[in-house]
Amino acid sequence: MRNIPRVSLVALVATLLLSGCVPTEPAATPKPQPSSTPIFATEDEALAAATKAYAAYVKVSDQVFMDGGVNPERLKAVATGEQLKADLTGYETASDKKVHSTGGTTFEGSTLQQFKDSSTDGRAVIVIYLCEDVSKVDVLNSAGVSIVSSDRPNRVAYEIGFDSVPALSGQLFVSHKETWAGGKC
Amino acid sequence: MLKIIHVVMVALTATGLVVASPTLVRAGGSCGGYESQTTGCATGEVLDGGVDLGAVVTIPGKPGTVVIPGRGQGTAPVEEVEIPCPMVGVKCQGPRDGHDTTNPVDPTNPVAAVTLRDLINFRPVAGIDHMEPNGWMVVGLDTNFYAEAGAQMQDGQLLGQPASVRFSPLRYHWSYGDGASATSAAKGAAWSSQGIQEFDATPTSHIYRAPGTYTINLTIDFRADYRFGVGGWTPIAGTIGVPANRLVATAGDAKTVLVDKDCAANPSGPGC
Repeated sequence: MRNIPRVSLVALVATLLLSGCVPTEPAATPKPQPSSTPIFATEDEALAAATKAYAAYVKVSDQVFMDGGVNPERLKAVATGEQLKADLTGYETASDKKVHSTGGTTFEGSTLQQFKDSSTDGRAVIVIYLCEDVSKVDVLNSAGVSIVSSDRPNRVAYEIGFDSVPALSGQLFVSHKETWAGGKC
Repeated sequence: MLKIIHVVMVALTATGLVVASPTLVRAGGSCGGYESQTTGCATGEVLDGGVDLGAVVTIPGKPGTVVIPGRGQGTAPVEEVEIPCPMVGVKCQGPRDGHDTTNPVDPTNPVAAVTLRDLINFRPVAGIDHMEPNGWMVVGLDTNFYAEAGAQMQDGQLLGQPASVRFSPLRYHWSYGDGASATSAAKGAAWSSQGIQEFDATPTSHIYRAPGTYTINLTIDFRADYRFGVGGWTPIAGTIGVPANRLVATAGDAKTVLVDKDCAANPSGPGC
């Protein structure tokens, strides 16, 4: 704690107000305005939709892995593009190796990083950051032995991208998921 | 200064040319559930200098492959890797100097890898520099600077084709106007959102040692990825530095500071 006399605080406030010597605001670049009408009315709405979509994705993804990677096409209901491809490939490996997971993935702290919509094709693209926790997840082989790497990070900041499908009432699908080097958990 | 790296990738399946994937550094790649839960996913980051680049091209009618070695070992800055004879079709087009954007490429059949120079239709939106206190500082106490910037996706024409480019902030360079500067991977945050007291030190705060008026500049380095259609993202080597707004603020000697609550309301505030 810095030692600044309390009496002086009052004096300064009074002096500043009386003299009109209150610093002016620094010039700040105005925020860019969206160029088209958002599909989601507000950023909060977009973030809420993305968070909900990611929760649905995690639930399906966890279940597929708990089931040993069988029927990974269940992920098509929640993922698309390169994310779907990465998951299908990974769970195919799980199935081949006869490994499965136990425990569930959790996440928190989702924040909106990018929200773009295109009124021309009715699609929305959302990117969020979040912190994912796999500390309760174990991956076991057919003998029941854990194959989790000793250096697997339990809490990781991710950048998650979503694409919407207008024909499905704008439902959001996870389209990419990458570790976010600038993020902290 | 931007370090630009050129790599030419030839992909002409129509003429029977077979292409191996160029060894571009991938910024992470999509992280699947199996990987994230078993081993963890790699943390990808494109560095501006010192990335290994190369390409393997198989030319029909010629046995073997031509391996174009990469440069950059993570030490000396990579200024530019020029490949002397880029192949377009089955003909050498002579020394390469940028892309010919008048001849659109087939996105499923890209003729050349994209470089920062090709992003003429794209530009990251500038970030916003904030400071606390807003517009002034107290000599000897921490002034908190923080940036507002996020990943951005833009659609437009890239090499004559509709494409998306994604810019992601990588680093923040502050020049405080008093001769000091700092580079941070973190963009910082307001005191209140960090749950700390006003004038507390933060990873992005700075202490001015003398009264005066200072001009503070922030430049944010962005990395860029591109994709054609709904394909996967491909990183572009190098970074783009974009200046944010300039702040001008006055530092004064003060035995007193203005706080938002008095000591009765906030007994743990500065000076209480």
